[in-house]
Amino acid sequence: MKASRVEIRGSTDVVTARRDGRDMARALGFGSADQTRLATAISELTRNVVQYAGSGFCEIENASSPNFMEVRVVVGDSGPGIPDLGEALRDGFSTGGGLGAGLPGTRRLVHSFDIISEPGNTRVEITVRRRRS
Amino acid sequence: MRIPILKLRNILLTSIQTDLSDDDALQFQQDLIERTRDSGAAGVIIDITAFDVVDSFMARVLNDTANMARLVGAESVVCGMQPAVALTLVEMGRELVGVETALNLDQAMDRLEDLIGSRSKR
Amino acid sequence: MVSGRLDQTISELIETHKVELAADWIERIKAHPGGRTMDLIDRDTLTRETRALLEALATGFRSESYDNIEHPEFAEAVRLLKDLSTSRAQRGFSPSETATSVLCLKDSLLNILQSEYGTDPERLHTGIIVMNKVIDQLALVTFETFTQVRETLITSQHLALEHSTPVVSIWEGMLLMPLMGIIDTQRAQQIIENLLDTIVSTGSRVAILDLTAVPAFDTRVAQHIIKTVSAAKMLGADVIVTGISPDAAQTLTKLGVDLSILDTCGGLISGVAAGYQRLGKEVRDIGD
Repeated sequence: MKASRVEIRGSTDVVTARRDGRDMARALGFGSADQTRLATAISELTRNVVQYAGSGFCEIENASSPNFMEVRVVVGDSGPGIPDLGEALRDGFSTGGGLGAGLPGTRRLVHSFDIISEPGNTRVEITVRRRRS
Repeated sequence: MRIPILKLRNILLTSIQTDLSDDDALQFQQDLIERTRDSGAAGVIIDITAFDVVDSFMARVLNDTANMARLVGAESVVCGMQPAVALTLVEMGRELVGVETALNLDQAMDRLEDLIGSRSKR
Repeated sequence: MVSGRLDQTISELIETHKVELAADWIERIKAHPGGRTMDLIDRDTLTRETRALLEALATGFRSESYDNIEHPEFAEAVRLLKDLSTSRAQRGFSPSETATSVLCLKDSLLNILQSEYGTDPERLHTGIIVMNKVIDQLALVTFETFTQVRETLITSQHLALEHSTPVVSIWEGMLLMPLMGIIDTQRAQQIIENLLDTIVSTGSRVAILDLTAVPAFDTRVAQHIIKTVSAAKMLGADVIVTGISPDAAQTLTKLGVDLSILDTCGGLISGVAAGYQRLGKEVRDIGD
C-alpha cells in the first residue's frame, strides 16, 4: 500500500489521517486492536496540530521487514512548540488539555515514540509494530 | 452534518453511524442537549457501535454530554463500545468514568429504566 | 592443597558424614525464613536427593580439581545439581529459594570442616577456601540452569496460553475467567481482548475473574486487573474479582495499591453468588 501524506488544516483532516492509518495497518495484516491503537494515536497527534499549530502534516508509511509488520507515522508542524517537553511526557501529565497533553497516553499505545519540539518545528514519529507469527 | 436523534416515548436515542470530527462532535453535543431540554426527555441513549476510534477528545465529549444531560433532567447511557476501543482507552488511561455504559441498545434500555426509576424516587 | 596425613580429605569427610550432613542441610533449609521447599517436596525425597548429591560431591572432591569443576569426577555432582535446578524451576520455586538450597549446603559443609579440622587452623583455612571455590562454581551452574529453564518455561507458557485464556459461560449472562500463570503485559492484553470479545458474543453482564492460580501478584499485575475491570465496565459488564489470597492482599496493601475500586469476593462461591444477585437471580433449594 502506498505511503500517504495528509495536510492537516482542520478537524476533518484528522479523520482522514486516522482512516488512512487504519487502512494501512489493516492492509499490512495488523489485527483490529492494533489498527485501533494506531488510528487513535494518529487522532491525538493530528488534533494537537490543529489545536496548537493551525496546520501541519501527517505522513504514513509501510516500514515492515521480513520479521515484523510495521507502520511508521510522522506528524509535524511549524507551530509554537511544546514549552516544557519533559513535563508533557511525564506520566500523569494528562489533565487540562493543554499543549502536549495526551502525549503520555499516546505513547502507551505505540511501539516507539520520538519527539522533537521547539518553536517553529514540532515532529513526532511513532511506529506500531508486531512480530510476524 | 447533523446526527439524527430519535424520540421513543420519553427517551432520546441517537445512533452515530459515521466518523465524527471534533467539530461534528461538539455540534452533536449541543444538538443533543438542546433537544433533551426542549423535549423534557427523562433519558438519553448514545449508541457508539459504529465508532472504531474514541480518542481522548471524544471520551471527554461523551463524559461531558452525560453530565450535561443530567443537568437538564435526563439520565444517560452510552452503549455499543467496541472491544478494541475499550482496550485502547484503558491503555491510554482515558477510560470513561462516571458515564453509565451498556453493551447494546437492549441492555441500555434496561439500564436507563433502572436509572430513571431510582431518580424519580429521590 | 589439602592432602591427607592422618586426617581425612574433604572427600572422605563428606563420605563419612553424609548422613548427618544431609540431615543438617535439610534442617537449615527448613529453618530458612520464607522458604517453601519443605512444603513443596516431601522429606524422604529431599533426603534421597541430598544424599545422592553429597556422594557425588565426595567423588568430585577426590579429584582435587578445585578450580575447575569440569573435571569428570565432578560430572555427577554437576548433573544432579542441574536436575535439581530444573525441577525446582519447573515447580515454580523462586530464584532465591533455589539459591538458599545451595547456600545452606555450603553452611553444612563448612560446619563439618570446622568440627573436623578445627584443631589445625592452616588446614581449616585451606579447606574453607577450597570448599568455597567448589561450591561457588556449582552454585553458578545451578543458577544458570535455573534461569535457562525458567525462561524456556515462560516462553512456552506464553505460547501455550496465548490462545487459551479460557472464558466460560457459567450461566446466561455470567462469565467465569480463571486466570493462571504469569501475567505480563502481553498476556494481559490478550486477556482483556478475550474477555471483551466474549462479553460481546455472549451478551454477558457479569464476569467473575478468579485469581487463585496467579502465583505472583505485584503492583503491575494489579494494574492489569484494574484495567481489565475498567474495560469490561465500558461494555456494560460488572467484574467480580475472586481468589486474592490473604498474603497477596497484604502485599498489595503494603505496596499502596488501591484495590477499593475492585469488587472482590474471597472465594469463588461467594463470587458466583454475587454474580447471580447482579443478574437478579437467587439460588434456592427445590421445594422451598
